[in-house]
Amino acid sequence: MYEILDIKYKTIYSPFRYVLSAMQALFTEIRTMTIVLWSVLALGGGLLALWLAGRRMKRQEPPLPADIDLPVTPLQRISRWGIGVSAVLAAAAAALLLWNGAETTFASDPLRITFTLLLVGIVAVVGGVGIWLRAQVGRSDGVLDERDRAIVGRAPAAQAMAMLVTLAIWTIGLAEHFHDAGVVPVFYLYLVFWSVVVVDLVGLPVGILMGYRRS
Amino acid sequence: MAKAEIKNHIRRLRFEHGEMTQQQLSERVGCSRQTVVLLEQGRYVPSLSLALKIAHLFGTDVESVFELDEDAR
Repeated sequence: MYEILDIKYKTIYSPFRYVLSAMQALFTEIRTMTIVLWSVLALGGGLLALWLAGRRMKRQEPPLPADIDLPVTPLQRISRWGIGVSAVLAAAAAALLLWNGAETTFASDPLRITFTLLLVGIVAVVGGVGIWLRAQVGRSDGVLDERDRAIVGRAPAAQAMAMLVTLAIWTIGLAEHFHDAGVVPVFYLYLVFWSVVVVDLVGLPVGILMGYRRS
Repeated sequence: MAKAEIKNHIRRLRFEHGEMTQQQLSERVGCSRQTVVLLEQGRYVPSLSLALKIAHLFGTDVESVFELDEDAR
């Protein structure tokens, strides 16, 4: 990559030199970034994609009058609860990684198991929300009404984009970071997998809450 | 776009039927109270099924509950 940039650098007009120089500086910066920063960037990128999708879905109508009390539906309540618990577990997992360092965390069995259990907790909580949803969607006498069902039907729209953004950040980041070494440590695969799982699962309740803003 | 084209008389009909609460209406037609609030505010257009249930509950036809906004015709 550097060699290609250098060849172009010598032959391209001066205004582009600044662009190429900035790109070289960026790639150098990327190569020195740490695993924790990459994890935060990948998860943050996925959640940013969800947030941007939510902005597009935001209701264009004026807000409801102040005296109107809009009650919370059971679906909203369980989605908020799922996101809240997931956020706490994800923060705990990130803190574990930050406190001990990635290499130490993955080299130590107790730390690795704790880290895994925190992430499995997210899967259990948000997966539980998904199972509950599937059960309710199929019941006409359940707690979901027709509007809830429509919102649930649209909720997965942002999940695929969020997963793609997360994978793209990991792929570009790891490719640049380990460009010279030519190999990627195994625990990065672990982090890639878990970050995609978390973004995918959390994307459902986030999509549901966004749906309530829109409809 | 469609949301602004339909208006309804649910709020008036509720009060004409023993000052029925939003909660009572939601329970009897099988939807959440949030949906009833948004219906009354003209923020949600119900399915034909829900519109029929609401009309039957008030003992009238759908067109007496929901109507196309004159400006949008």
